[in-house]
Amino acid sequence: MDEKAYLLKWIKKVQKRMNTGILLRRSLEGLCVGLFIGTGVEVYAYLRPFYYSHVCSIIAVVLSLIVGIVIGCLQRRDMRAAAGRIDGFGLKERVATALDGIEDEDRMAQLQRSDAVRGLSSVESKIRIPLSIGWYRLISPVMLLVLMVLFFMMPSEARAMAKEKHEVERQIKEKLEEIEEAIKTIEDIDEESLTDREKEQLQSMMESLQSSYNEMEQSESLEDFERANQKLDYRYDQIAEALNQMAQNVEQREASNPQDPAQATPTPTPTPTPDPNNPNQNNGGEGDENEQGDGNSGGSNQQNPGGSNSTSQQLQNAAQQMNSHISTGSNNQNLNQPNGGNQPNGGNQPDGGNQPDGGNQPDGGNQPDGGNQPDGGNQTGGGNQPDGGNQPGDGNQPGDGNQPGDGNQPGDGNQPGGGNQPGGGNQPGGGNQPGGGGQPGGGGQPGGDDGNPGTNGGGGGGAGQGNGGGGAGSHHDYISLPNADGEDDDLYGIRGSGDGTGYARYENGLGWEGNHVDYNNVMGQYTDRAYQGIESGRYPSGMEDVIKEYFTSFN
Amino acid sequence: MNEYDVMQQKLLACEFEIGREIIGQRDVIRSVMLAILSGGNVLLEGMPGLGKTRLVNTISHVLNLSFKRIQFTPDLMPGDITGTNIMERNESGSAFRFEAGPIFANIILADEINRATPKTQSALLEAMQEHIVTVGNVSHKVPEPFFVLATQNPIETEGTYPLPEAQLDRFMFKIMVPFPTKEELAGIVGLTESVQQGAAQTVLNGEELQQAIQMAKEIKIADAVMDYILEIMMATHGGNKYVREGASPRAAQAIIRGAKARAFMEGRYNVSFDDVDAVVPAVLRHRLILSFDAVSDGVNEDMVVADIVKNVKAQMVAQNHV
Repeated sequence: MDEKAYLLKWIKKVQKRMNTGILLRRSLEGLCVGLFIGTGVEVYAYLRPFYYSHVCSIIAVVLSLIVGIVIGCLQRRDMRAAAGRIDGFGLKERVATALDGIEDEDRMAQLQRSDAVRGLSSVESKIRIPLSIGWYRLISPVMLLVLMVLFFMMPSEARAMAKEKHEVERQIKEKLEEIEEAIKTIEDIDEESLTDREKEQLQSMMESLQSSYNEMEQSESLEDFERANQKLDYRYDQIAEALNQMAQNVEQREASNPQDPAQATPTPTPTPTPDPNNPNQNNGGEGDENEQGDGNSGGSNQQNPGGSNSTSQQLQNAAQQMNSHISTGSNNQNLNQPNGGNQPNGGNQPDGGNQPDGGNQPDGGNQPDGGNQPDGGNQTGGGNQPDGGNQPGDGNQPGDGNQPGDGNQPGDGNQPGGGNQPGGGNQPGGGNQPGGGGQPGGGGQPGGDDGNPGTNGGGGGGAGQGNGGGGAGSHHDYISLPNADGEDDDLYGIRGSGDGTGYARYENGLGWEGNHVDYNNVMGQYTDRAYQGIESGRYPSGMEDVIKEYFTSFN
Repeated sequence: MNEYDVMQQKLLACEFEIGREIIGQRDVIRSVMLAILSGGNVLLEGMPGLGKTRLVNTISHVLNLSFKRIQFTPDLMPGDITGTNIMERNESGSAFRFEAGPIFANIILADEINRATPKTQSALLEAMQEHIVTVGNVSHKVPEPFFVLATQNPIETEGTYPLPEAQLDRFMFKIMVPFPTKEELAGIVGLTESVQQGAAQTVLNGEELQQAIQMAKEIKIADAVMDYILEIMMATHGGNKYVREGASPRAAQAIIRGAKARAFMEGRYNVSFDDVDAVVPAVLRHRLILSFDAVSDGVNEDMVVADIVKNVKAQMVAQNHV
């Protein structure tokens, strides 16, 4: 082997060894730094809520290691440094000088190279290039890793809090997107066929949703979120019902005046806002033969509601979307509800219980709030009128027509008998009733018995199973009584002007009008009433256990 | 054994022969030899009676070079050094003839150089740097090899003229001649007072010395070592509160030449860091102008140079051993 090759071989060998040592040292140092940061993050997350602590720790470790490796690569020594290192073994810069003049062939360069080779040969056996890692570089990462994993695994209150907070934030984000989508859907509705009042209603719906959006956005805790979510569900419900109603009105107008639908005389649309001055509200029991006919047409409309691109179709789709939002949330909480919100066409039946002219009800005029209740949408348990349910549909309940308050009874939604009304089959809109989703009673409507024999119910009969009512396991802070005075102990009273309420439309939007009472204040009354109904045999046989179980679940 | 090795052995023999007449002072002898091998001039500073003149005389004898001594006094004139044109009358008439001064020799001993006036001192400048003496309109080359070995007394400064910086810069080395140890002193006394005095033998001649100088110039220097020298030079120009003015580029050349000469005398073909470290004090000590802080703190040039070298070395070690 000639002198040049010999020198270069040794220089490269030492260079490689040096670079390996540098790379290892820097990598270990980087790892140490990363583990130190990661441990700090985990300690912080142990004391203070920080959901992404694990991710941050791992990122810190990986990044630091990468940085260490990169620095190690950048600090790689060249051949001159390696030659200098060899000279450190007593060669007095012979090798470094020989490397500098490796290409020179003059006399002095040759002599010098030979001298360097002689010197290198003499110390060859002594040349040892340690990696110089150091015990502390090996021990430190291990200790830090143990420490980090320890804090990584250790459960703490702050960690649980962070997890919960994160979950809330995630849900809030989803809800915000959902609301944006809902607002956009309403915005996209073609308003050409709508009356001014309906346009105003749409505007109110959007404001209402925007209000919910703001509330949701400002939610910081689980409690805030749940509260906002309840309001939102309620608003969805109200809006869905209003949209359905609007869709029916539009269809009717189109049917009556297909040439010029925009000029059609607007039928007073039952708004989600209870309107005590609305004459239709008190028009209980006025169902007549005509109404029956309407009911049939309503049923048929369920199958083909108003053409594919019509405004009514848009409204129905929007209502369907609102309801789907509700049911999504409700299903999570009411998995044991047999016919919850998963009933096909359940809450989305546009012509369900919201049919103002539900003339199909066998009770006809005896059903005071049957199909004629224009404010059915506002009834949290409209279709589930307990009294109605007990009426076998034979019209023997003379008091039905005299019970106008049923429509206003929010507790009806909690009374499972609703779905058992023989007329229930004719009130497929049970699902559309706001009580369905958010109201605790809604989901409890074992309306599966829609097809009660002996009823005249036709049309959309069994479709309306309710929106999967509200949730036996869900928590509610209050009960909304849209048409009741909150301060009034008589929960069934008719609300007056509503001035006394602390909630106003401009504050809370369309879906949050009315008064609110504490949930605990009314729950007892509802329970008592349910049990009284069982004792008096007002509910269909076989349903007693369901009702009992329902109310027991709140305990 | 090649020609370089032969020459290196001769130089070592020279050193040995000088040591026969100069007891002790090994470092001084080595430094003077390095300066001669580098073709540089030397300023020797030491107390009277330390053998400076004898050293120079012995070197000239061992190297078989012509030697002239000039005792500098306040009334010494430049012409007394360089020589002068004198009128000479002959058969054809009269004409000027240049009468060469004592500077025309291979080795000049400028004894107590700081006692002459600056005007006279400056008469040496051209000869020291250019190896030329200009008298009137005529320039005369001095014989090669040409070395100026000057001495000065650090005490009795009254009535002296400190050498200006320009002249100091012409001296490659400033060598401090220390007082001998007791054993060395005994040897000196025994050598001078005995009947049989040591006689140094001539080893080299002028021509061989010039070859040796050329060989020393060929010694290789690694980039890392060159970088080290440059770092030292740069360090004299900033960062040290005791240095008012740093060294000139001529100092860097002197370090390189001196380091090469040392490597050659050590039998190597390349300069090492040790070679640099060995010559740096002699090269820099008369080139640094210290600040008032240094004077007030009692810091001398050698201390400042040592500090600079130490810092530069630490810096390079940190860079190389990350």
